[in-house]
Amino acid sequence: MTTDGSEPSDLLRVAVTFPRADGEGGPVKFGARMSTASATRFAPDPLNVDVAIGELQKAGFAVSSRGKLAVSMRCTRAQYEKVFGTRLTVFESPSPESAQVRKFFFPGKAAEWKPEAQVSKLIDDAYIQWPHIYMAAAKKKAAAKIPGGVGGGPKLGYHYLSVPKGVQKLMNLAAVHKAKITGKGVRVVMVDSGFDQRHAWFKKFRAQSGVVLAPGASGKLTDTSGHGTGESANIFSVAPGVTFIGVKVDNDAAPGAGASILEGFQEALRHHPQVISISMGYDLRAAGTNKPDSKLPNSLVPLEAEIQAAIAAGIVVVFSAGNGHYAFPGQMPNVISAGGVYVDAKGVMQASNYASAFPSAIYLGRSVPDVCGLVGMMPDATYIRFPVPKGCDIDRDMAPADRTKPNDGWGVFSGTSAAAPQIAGLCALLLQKNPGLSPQEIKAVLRRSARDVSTGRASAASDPKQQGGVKASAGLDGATGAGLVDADAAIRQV
Amino acid sequence: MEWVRVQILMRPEHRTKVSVESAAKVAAALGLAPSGQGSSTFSARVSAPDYLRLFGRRFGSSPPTNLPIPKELAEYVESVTVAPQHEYF
Repeated sequence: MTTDGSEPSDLLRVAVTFPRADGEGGPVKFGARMSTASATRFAPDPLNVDVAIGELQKAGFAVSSRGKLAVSMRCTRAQYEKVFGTRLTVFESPSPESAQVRKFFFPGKAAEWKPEAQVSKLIDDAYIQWPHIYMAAAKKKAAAKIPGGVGGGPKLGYHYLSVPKGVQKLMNLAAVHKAKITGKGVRVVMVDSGFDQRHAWFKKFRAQSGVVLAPGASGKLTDTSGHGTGESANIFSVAPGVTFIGVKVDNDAAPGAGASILEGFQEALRHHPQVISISMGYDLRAAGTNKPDSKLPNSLVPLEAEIQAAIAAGIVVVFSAGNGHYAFPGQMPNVISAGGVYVDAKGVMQASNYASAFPSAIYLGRSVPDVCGLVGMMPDATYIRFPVPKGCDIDRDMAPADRTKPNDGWGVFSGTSAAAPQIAGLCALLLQKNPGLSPQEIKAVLRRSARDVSTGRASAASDPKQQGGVKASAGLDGATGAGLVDADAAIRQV
Repeated sequence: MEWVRVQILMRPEHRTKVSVESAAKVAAALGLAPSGQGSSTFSARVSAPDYLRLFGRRFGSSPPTNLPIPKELAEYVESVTVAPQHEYF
């Protein structure tokens, strides 16, 4: 799939309508124009809508929003054709110059329409949404021009990585992307603070992105923290073709009312993920010591159980290893635990002293991390320049350290929060190439193909021996696991 | 109104979607509003008064530990805990 709209996107936006609550035809099958006076009469039975959504979700459709009369869903061309027993053909947009996309899929005039029986009885119709047009084409062009040249963002007087190019280069992605391995068709769910994709940087990814609210979260379009928005740029840099679902857990107005990680994870499971990326966790440090806890608190056992069940069901789960934290769930044995490697301006690699590395005292024999992504160094890990909502917490708070302006929509940061989505993106690439890979096989491939990192130390704060951080050395080591992931080498192994 | 986030872990023999749904219905009848579910767990929100009524203690009055399991849920449930606060990495 191309993202410039010159070729039709495989990802379809579908508006589903339903029969009226009294069982009569819905708005599409109604024989006349619906008026504002009659609109409320078309309200469907919510229970019927739930069942219909459930049926469509089983077929791979994802809810992007739910209104009073219709539900917007996304699916692939193949899923649509299968469920509705039709064949789609390529249509040219009536106004290609100002349209969102120039070509799109739609049922041809002679196409069959034989919806699956269990869906047919539950819905009124399912319309593929035509591309909208921009009312001011000049405005569209202006929005596409991002200050700061390729990749956008301000120039800074120190070594940093841009997204997507800087991250792509160091993850060795050029040949992979050239071979059209972009994560296309792979469903990646990221659970984080929020995902404000109104920044110009996200423009070309919006068509394949959806944001859903976890219980208690608010503001589908906003991200007052900026954490999730910025870190999600890692996934799009590594796997620009993925189907991205962001699960927002923050409540903008009342932080305590937002979702727990378990609630976010449960929400993620509803969206049929193949990969789940989470850059959050808990610091399990024995009270009053610098040692890791040796017993999992009861309050985290439910999350542990749900993650285990997800991995057993074939979902790849990536967690950050922590930034000096004894992170959980990053220390669970079956997750992919993402640590940090810093690559300087000359290309020299070393363990990031910002990233956690430690032997788990809960899961004996488990060494964190498994592999590493790109993470900066102490004190602030100002390493990767991300697009963030203008004036968000990160934009404002990081400004003194990262030398961007506090309201410019850019922040330079990292942490293992960056490593997890980088690695999750790479997992999506592997799954595009070989959809049959299990989570265990993917972890093994990542570790076999990683670049060894033999110098530097991980964070001193996660060193139970208090020797200044677990030290990297030749071969597998505690500081970086197998080392920095290498996309090209990994893809060659599957 | 203050809401407490609680997490319900199913007994191993009930770690199925069907059992989770059944238990969530029982919980809802008790005043625990289900907010999410997986194959081994479900989450719920409970008001402070209902928290006191169901668990016999005020929220925050004692260190986080397993909460007493309401007898109506005992068949299904291994533990009930309050969700801890997470941090971003």
